[in-house]
Amino acid sequence: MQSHFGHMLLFTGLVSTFFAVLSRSESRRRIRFGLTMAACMILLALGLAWAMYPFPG
Amino acid sequence: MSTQPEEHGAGRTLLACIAAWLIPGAGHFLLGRRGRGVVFFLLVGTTFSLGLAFDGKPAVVDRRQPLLSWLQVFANVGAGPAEMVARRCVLGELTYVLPADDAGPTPRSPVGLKLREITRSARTGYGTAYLWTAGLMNILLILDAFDIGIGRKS
Repeated sequence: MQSHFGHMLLFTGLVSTFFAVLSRSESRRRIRFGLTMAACMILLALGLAWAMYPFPG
Repeated sequence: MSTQPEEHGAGRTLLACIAAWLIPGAGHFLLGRRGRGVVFFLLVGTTFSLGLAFDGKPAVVDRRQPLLSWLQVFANVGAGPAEMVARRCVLGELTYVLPADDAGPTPRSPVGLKLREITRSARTGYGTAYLWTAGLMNILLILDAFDIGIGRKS
């Protein structure tokens, strides 16, 4: 896999699942926490990527 | 799964912390959080395996940037003995320090040459990030096992 976005999704999935299981004990709260964390990570990464667009690659 | 925090005693807590470093998730397993232990083993194991699959670079202490390279080695070592085996296989020897006379643009030692070869891979950035993440995850698991062991967390 060479896609930056694919790696970002994979990494986000692993890390958000890890922290959801680590920090919450009820299944419902785990799922909610994991989805919220994953959404925040993806949106933050896309926002930073957009903000850095003017800089040369 | 227990919901009330309970103390497990100093010896068992210490054993759980050591087990957590040796095998990711084993600390939780020993303290009765078996489901969590298995999930953590799979998560850390998958992350570590992805690191190896994507040409992750084992960190070595480089005198040109000591703080950053020490932090990278710390993150690597957190993954436990599996990291030592992987390091031995990837670098050809179990070393954590770049030879002093090899800190330059033209490495001469086998480790320096191997590191330069790995760095040329287009995937090494991804793999290295996965390796660091697996180690840091396992360090958090050791601390979590400690908290469970002393009764601070259920």
